[in-house]
Amino acid sequence: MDHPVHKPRERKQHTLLILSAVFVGILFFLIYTSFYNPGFKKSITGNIIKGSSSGGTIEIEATLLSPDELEIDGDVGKIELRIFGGNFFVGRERFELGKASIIIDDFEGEISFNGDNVSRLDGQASKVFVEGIPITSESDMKVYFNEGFKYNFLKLNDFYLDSLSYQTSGIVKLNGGKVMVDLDDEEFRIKKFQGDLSLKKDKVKLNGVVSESNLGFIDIKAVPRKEKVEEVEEAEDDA
Amino acid sequence: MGNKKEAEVEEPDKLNVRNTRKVYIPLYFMAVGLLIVMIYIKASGRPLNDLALKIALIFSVSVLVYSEIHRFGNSYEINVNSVVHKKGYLSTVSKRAEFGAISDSDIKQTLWQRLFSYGDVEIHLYSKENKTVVKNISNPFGFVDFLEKKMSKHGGRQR
Repeated sequence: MDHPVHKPRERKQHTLLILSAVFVGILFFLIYTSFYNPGFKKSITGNIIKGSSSGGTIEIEATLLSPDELEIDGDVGKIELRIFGGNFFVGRERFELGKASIIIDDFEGEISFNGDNVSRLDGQASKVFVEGIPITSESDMKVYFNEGFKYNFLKLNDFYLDSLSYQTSGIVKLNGGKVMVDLDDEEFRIKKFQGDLSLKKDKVKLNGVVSESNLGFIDIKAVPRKEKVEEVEEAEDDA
Repeated sequence: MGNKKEAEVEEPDKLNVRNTRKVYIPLYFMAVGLLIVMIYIKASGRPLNDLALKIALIFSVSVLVYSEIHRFGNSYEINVNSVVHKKGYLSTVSKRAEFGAISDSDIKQTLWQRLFSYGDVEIHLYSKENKTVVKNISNPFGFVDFLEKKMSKHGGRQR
């Protein structure tokens, strides 16, 4: 039992110091992500998915039955919404809205919806208009609803969706109508969609470009331009 | 009448003590502090970052688990003829100091320990130049009183 009495006490103080530092770090992270930068995690994913829609693309225009659930996490150029009511938070202000139309510009964050209900809308935006009136002068502010709300129209303009896959019915036109597919409760799968999406009642409209699409039995994949040129050159050489 | 009753109250043969939970008050403050901040954020309608929430919860639970596990690392027992200090978790080291070998004891309390009425007891031995330190126990004066009573009853020095 010749242990020096001070050593364990010093070790204990070190442990306490490390724990205190971790505690302060977590506390700072909590406060920072809630009060100063609510889109912290989202901004990272947003940056990652920017520019991922490169290479060859296929134009797509589709009117389909809407999916049961859809989650979008990233940048949306503009959101147009017509809602039946809800508590809408913009910056530090709260708006108790009845039936209203909302426009959110340069949104970056999360939106998820199921059926006629938006379960989450949480992110940052540069401008917000309610019934056409700009409601804040700040440039980058937090916008969110504290709970889900019902809508009768929702349009997301200029956004990126990594993939979407579900069983549905409706018409899909590819490359300006060169290919048209009538889906009847069949698989609809697209990858790297960039464009607009609108939801009204149980219908979803997509308008944009994709890198790949699987429609029922038809699979179409975009070929990057460089490969396309090489293929044409090879064909010319063969001829 | 009262004295008779006191005399009738039998003292236990053994006294087992562990580190008091008061030692971990700073850790409990941290866990509670994080919880209060999270509740405040939720109540004020601000968004609570998922990652921050998970980290804060993991930290709070880890702190509580750590403190409980740490408590079980040391236990002290005064029985009829010795003071036993058990140390360790899976493999343990048990050190016994017979009453006859005990010369004296000290109680040490820092300001923090005095505030929360706990402290360390140093039990010095005759034969060796060392001591058994009973660390961070609640009511160290009660512990020493019990030790003295046992020593006077079952042999050993008397203070």
